[in-house]
Amino acid sequence: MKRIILLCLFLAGACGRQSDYRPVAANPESLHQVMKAITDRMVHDIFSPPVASRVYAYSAIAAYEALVPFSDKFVSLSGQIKHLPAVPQPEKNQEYCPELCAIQSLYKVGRQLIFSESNLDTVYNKVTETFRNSGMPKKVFDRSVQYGNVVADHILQWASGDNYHQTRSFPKYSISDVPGTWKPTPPAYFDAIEPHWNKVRTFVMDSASQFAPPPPTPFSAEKNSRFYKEAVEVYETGNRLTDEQKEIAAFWDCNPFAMQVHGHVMFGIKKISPGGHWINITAEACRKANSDFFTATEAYACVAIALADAFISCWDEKYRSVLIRPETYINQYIDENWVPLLQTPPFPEYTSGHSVISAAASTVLTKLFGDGFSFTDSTEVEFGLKPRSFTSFAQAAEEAAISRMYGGIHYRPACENGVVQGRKVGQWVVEHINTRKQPVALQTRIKQ
Amino acid sequence: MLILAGCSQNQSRNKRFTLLAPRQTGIDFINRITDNDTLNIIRYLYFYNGGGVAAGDINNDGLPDLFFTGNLVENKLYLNLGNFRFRDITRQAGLAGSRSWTTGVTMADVNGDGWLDLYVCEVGGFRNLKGRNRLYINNGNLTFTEKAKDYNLAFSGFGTHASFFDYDRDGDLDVYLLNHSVHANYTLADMALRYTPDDRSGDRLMRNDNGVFTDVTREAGILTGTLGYGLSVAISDFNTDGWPDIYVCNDFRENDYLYLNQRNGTFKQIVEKAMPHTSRFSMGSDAADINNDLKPDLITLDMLPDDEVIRKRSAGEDSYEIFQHKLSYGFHYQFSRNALQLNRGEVNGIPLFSDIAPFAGVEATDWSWAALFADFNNDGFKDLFISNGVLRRPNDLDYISYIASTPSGKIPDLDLAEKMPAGQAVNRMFQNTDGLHFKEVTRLWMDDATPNCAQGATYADLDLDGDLDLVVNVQNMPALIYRNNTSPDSAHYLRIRLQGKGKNVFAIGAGVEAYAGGNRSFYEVYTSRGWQSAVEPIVHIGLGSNWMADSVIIRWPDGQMQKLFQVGANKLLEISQVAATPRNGNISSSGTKFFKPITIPGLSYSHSENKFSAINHEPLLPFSHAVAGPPLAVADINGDDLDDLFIGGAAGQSGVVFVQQPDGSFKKMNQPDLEADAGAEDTACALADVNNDGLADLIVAGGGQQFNGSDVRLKPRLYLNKGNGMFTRSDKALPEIFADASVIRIADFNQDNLPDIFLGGRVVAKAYGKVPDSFVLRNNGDGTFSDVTLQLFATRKLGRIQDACWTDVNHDRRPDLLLAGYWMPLTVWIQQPDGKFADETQQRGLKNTSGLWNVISTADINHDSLPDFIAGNFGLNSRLRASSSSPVIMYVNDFDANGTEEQILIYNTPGGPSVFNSRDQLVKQIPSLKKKFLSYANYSKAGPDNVFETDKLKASVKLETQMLGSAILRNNGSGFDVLPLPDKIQFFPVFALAALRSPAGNSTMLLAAGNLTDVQPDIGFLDAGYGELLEIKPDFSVLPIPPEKSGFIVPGQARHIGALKLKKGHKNVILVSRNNQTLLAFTLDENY
Repeated sequence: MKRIILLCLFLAGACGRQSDYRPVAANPESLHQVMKAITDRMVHDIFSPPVASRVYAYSAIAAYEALVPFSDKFVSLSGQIKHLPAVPQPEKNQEYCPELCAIQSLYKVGRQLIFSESNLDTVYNKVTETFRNSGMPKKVFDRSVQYGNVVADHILQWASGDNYHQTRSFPKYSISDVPGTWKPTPPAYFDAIEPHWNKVRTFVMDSASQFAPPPPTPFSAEKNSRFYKEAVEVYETGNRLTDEQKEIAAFWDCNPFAMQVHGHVMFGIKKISPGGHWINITAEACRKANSDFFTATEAYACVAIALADAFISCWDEKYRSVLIRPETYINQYIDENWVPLLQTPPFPEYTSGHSVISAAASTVLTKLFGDGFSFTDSTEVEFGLKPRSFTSFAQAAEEAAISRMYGGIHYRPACENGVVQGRKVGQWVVEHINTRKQPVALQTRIKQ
Repeated sequence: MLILAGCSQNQSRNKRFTLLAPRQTGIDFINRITDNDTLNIIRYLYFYNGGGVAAGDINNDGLPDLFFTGNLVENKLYLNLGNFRFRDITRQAGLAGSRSWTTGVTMADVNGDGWLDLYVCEVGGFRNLKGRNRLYINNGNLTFTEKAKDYNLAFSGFGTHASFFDYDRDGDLDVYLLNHSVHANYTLADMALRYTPDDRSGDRLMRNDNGVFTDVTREAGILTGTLGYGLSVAISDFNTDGWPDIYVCNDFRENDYLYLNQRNGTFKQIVEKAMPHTSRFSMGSDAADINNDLKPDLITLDMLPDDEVIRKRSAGEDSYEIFQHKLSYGFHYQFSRNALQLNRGEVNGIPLFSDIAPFAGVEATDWSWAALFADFNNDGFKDLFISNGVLRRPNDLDYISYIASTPSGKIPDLDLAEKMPAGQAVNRMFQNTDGLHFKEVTRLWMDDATPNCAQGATYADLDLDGDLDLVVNVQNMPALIYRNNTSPDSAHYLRIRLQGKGKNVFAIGAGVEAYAGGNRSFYEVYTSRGWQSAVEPIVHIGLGSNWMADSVIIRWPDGQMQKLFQVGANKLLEISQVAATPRNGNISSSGTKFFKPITIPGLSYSHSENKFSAINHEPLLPFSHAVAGPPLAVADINGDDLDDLFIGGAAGQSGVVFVQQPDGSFKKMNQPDLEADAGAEDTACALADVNNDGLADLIVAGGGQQFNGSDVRLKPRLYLNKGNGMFTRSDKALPEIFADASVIRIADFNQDNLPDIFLGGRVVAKAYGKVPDSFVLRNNGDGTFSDVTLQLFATRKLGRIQDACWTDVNHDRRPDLLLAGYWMPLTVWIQQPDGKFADETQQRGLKNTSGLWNVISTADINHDSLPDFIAGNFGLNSRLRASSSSPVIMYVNDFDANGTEEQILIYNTPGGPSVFNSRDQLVKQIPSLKKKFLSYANYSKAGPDNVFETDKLKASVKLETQMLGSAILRNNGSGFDVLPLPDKIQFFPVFALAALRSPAGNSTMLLAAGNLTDVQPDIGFLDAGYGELLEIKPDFSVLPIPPEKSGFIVPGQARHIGALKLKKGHKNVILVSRNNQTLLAFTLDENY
C-alpha cells in the first residue's frame, strides 16, 4: 500500500498539470471538513456561544477573502465591513490554487483562535495531503499556502482590534439583589458569561444596540401579572411536554457544557454551540445544493457574520435587562422543586440567544439558498439524537426559538422577540454585505 | 545484601512506628472494593467511603481486640492474643455471614453488664442494599447475639456511624445515630430540607429508657432532615459545663451542626455563632484538647490537597462572585479545607472557636478521612494522625472538563468511573510540638508510608507496653497495624481505666485532667472518633520525662469530681467512681474580666458597607481593600468639655457626629454638609483645630478601592467648626488632591504651633500594584494647607500606605514619620535638621520587614523615652507563608498586552514558589494561557517561570512580602529590633491597635482586633480573631490574656479602636469600629 502511494506521488510529481489537480482541489468537501474540525475543537475546548461565533466569523471571512482575488464574480468584504482593511493581493501572473489558499487561511485563523490545535492539525494535514497528491505542482502548493497565510495574518491583525482582549479585563458581572434580576442557576452555578460582549466590535451592524428589542415584560411576582403568567406558561408547558416537544428541545439544546452532578462526581455533556449548529446547517445546505467551493465559502462567511452580529445584539440586550431565568423564578414563586428539561445556560434570559441567532442565520441562508429550501438536519446525530427535517430555514429557526420554551429556559417573549431581533440582524447583513460584483437574485443561481 | 537489609531494619527500628505484616499479626483483613454494574461511584455517591475499625477489650483480658467493617466484604473480629498476635474469631463469635454494606462501628457496653458490645452501622433501602444497623450483645464468652430490634436500635437507612454517650446524665448510655444522605446535589435552594424529617437520611438521637431506646430526635432539637449528609460525629463537652455536646460533620453545602446540650434533655444548634466558618465537605473529625488549656478543640477534615500539583488539578473554591451568591441561600461560611477549631472559651453562653488550621500547618492534607488526636510520643501533647486517599478523584478537573465530558454523554457508569484518575495518598502523622503547631513527621515517624486509600483508623496499646499503636482500615490492601516503638523509659505515660457508677460501666463522658511538672492536659472518654471508628475506653496520658502526675482530676459523667495526687508513671490505673464530690460550676468560669462591653445610650451606629466588589474588577487579587472603614475620631467639638465622636460612613452613608450629653448619653447631630458628602466612602478622619480658633475642625478622606483618578469622592474634605460643633465644608482649605486614603495623621512636624497633616494613599483602584500618592500638607496658618510632599520627601510615592505614626523616633525633638503598608517594609522617615525627611528604613534595621501591614501604634514599652512600636500584619493563619528568603511575590504587568494589568500572586508551597491562581481563574483573564496549557495537568506542573515568559516576569513590577506576623519594634536608639508577638495575635490580620498603660503602671496593655473576609475564596475568610488583649512587660515579654479573662470580645472585621471619656462616672471607654457592623464599646472593669 505504501509503495503504491509513493508511486502515485511520483507520478503526480512528474506529470502533474493544472488540469489534473483542479477537480480534486475544487471539491468543497475539504472546506467542510476543516470547518467541521474547527467546530469539533470548540466543542472540546468548551467555547461559550458568543466566543464561538467570533471564531466562526473570522475563520470564515479569512477563507472567503483568500478566494476573492481568484474570482471575477466575488467582491471583498473590505470596504463593506468598514474597518476591515484592504486584503493583500496574490502576485500577478502566478499560478495559485484558490481553494488551497482558502483552506490555509481558514485553518490558520481557526487554529489561532481555538485551543487544542493538534487535533485540528490532523484534519488539516489529511486535507492538504489530498491537495498534495492531486497533481498540484509543489510551487503552486507552496505559493497557495503562503498566500493563505498572508490573508490569515491580515485577518488576525484585524481581529485583534475588536476589543475582545480588552473585554477579558473588564469587571466580572456583579449579581444584583434587585428582584427580577438574573441569578446563577443550578446545578453548576456558573458565573454569568460575557457580560461585556456588546463592547466587542460589530461586523456589519452600526452598534450593538442597533436592533434592540422592546423591553421584556415588567417583572412582577404578583399572580395576576403578565410576567407571572408567562412563567406559568413555561412551567405548565414543561410539565406537559409531548414526546415531540421533548425531541425538539433536545435537538436545539446546543449547550456547550451541561453539568452533570452525581454526588462528588461531576462532568459535562458537551454539545455543539447554537452558532455551530447553524454553521453545520450551512454545510448541509451547501451539500444538498451541490454548491461549489466558492459558493460554499461565501455561504459560511455570510452566515458566520450574521451569527456574530446576532450574538452581539442579543448579549447587548441580555445585560441590559438582566432578566431572571424561568428556573429561578418558578422555584421562587411557583414550585420550588421544578427543574427545566434543559439545563439553564449561565447568562440572563432576555432575549433568547438561540432565537436571535437562528433567525439571523436563517434569513441569510434563505437569501442564499432560497425560500422553501427543504433540508434534513443531521447535526445532532453525533450527539445521540435523530435527524430532523424542515421545509425551510425559517421553519427551522422558528422551531429553534420555541424549543427554548419547551426546554424551560425561556419565556415566550424572549423567543418571539428574539426571532424578530434576529431577522432584523440577518436582514441588515443581507442588505449590507454584497459578495457579488453583479447583484443577482441569489436563489436563481442555485439549482436545487 | 545482608548488610543493606540490616541497615534498613535498624532504620525502621529508629522510627517511631513499625508496620507489621499480616503474617506476623494474623490480621489479614482487606476491605476489597471495585466498582460493579449494580453499585459504583456514579450510582452511590459514598461508594468509596470505606470501612471503620473499633478497638476494645471484648473478653476483659486486658488486651484490646479489633473489629473491622467491610463494604463488599465480611466484617472481621480479631482476638488479641498478646505480642501482636491476633486470631480471626468472626465465625466462632457468631458474627460471620454479614453481607450488608457496612459503614461505621463502635464498641460500648450498651446493657451495662461490664462487657463491651458491638454496634455496627449499615446501609439499607437503597438500590440492592438491604442492611440495617446491628447491635451485637456480648455474651461474655467470646460470642455475640444480635439484638438490635430488642433495643429498638435496628435503624435501616443510610447509616454512617453511631456514638454512645449519656446526654441526659441519667447513668445509662444513649446513642447518636449519624446518617448520610443520597439526596440529589442539584440546587442550593433546598435548605428547607434541613427541617424536613427523612426516614432514612436524618440523624437520630435515641434515649436509653431501661434498655429500650426511644427516638427523641425531634423533641431534643436534633435536625433529622434530608440535607444531613452526615459523615462523622464528635461528642465532647465543648463549653465545659459537664454536659456532652455534639458536633456533626456534613458533606456538601449543608452546614455542620454544633449542638449545645441545654441540660434539660434538649440541644441547641449554634454552629453559626460559635464558628465564624467551618470546613465545607466535612468528613472525619476528632475533638480533643490540643493546647492543654483544658478546653476541647476540634478538627474537621476536608479534601484540600497540600501537593500543589494535585491542588491545581482539583476543583477548588467557587469564584468570588459565586461564593458570595451562594451565601444568599442561607448556608454558613464554609471552605474546602481542614478546619482546626481552637476553643477560645465561652462568652455569653457560646463557646467561641478560631480556625487555626493554616497557622498550625494542617489545613491541607488531601482526601482525608479519619482524624485522631492522641499522644503518640508520650510528651504531653496530642499528636494528629490522618488517614488518606480516595480510590478515584472525581474532582479532577481534566476528568470533569475533558475526560468524562463527551458529546454523547451516554457513557456507561462503569466506564465513567474507570476514567477517573486514581487518588492514592499517604497517611499523615503530625507531631504536636507546642500545642499550636503541628509538624508533619510522616516520613520521620512511620517506617512505611505507602500511598493508599485508607479510611477508618483507631489507636490502642495493643501490646500493653505503654504507647499507642495504630490500626488502619484500607481499601484493597491489608489493614495496617503499626507498632509504636516509643520507649516508656524515656517518655513516660499513665493509662487510666475508669469504672463508672450504674449502667455506664466504662464511664463514657468522663473528663480527666492531668497535672505533671508544670504541664497540664485534658482527656475525655468518648470512644467513637475519627472516621466510622472507635477507640478503647481508656485514657492515655503522656507524661514526658515526669515520673509522676502531681495530680489527676476525674470529672465523672454524672458531674462528680475525684482527685488523685502523686500518681506514679508507667502504669495502668483502674479507678472506680467512689467517694466523689460534686463539682462546682463551669471549669472555665473565671472571675473578673479586664473589660466589659457596655451600651452607651444614644451611641448607636451601624456601618453599612456598600455592595461593591474590588475583586470582581480585579479577579486575580487575593484580597480587597474595599472594606476599609469606618474611621473614627474623638474630641470635644462644642466646647462643653465632653468628648464627642465622629464616625465615618461607607459609600452612600453619611458620616455621623455624636455629641455627648451631660448625663453621659449621646445625641446624633444634624450635619447637612456631612450628609451632602455621603457618596464618598469615609476611610480616614481626624479632628484638629486647623485654624487656631479653639474649635476642633474635621478632616475626612475617602477611599474604598472603587473610585478613580480625580473623582470628587477621593478629594479629602476639611470641615470647619463654626462653633457648637456644626461643621461647614471649606473647599479652599485643602489643595486640589485626590487619594484613595487610608489614614490622616495630624502633627506639627515643623514646630510652628500649627497642626499639619499626613494623608496616606492606600491603593489605586482598578489598577492594583500601582503606588498611590501620599501627601504631607503644611498648615499655612490661615486654615489653608500646602502640599509640601515633594519638597520634603522628594516623592509622593511613599508606598501602599495603611497607617502612619508621627513620633520623634531618634529623640531629637523633631517629629519623624513611620509608615505601615502593603508590600513594603515598615518605613521610617527621619526628619533632618533642615526639615526634610530621609528614609532610614535600612539603617534602622527594618529593611527585611516587607509585609502586609495594616496598622502601627506607638508606646514606650521599656520607659527609655524612646518610642517603641507595635505593628499589625496580615497574620500567620492563611495559606500565605513568607520569609526573607522565600517572600510572597506579586508580579504586576499587562501580561496579555490588552491594556490592563494583571496581578499574579506567587506563594510558597512545599514544592517551591507557585502561581496561586487556578488555571480557570487565569485563563479568564489571559485566554492565551488556555492554549499554552491544554490540560489542568499541564498547568499543575508549571512553575511561575513556565506559566509566564521569564522576560515578562522580569519586566513586571515585583511586589514582595517577607514577613506576615505582627510584631513589636523595640527602639534601641540607633535602630529597631523586630520582636515577634505571641501566637494568638497571629491568628488573624490585625487592623486596629491601642496601647494602654497597665493599672500597675509598668506594663503596656495592648488591644488588638481585625479580621478580613473580603478575600478570594481560595484564601478563605481570615476571621479567627475575636479581639486580643496582651500585656507587654518592660522587658518586652508578652503575656496573652484569654478572651474569657480579657472581656474584650470583638467578632467581625474590626477597623479602628478609639478611646473617649464619659464625663459621668469618669469612665474611660474603648470604642471599636467594625466594617459593616455596629460600633462596640467597652469599659475597664472597676477593678482595673
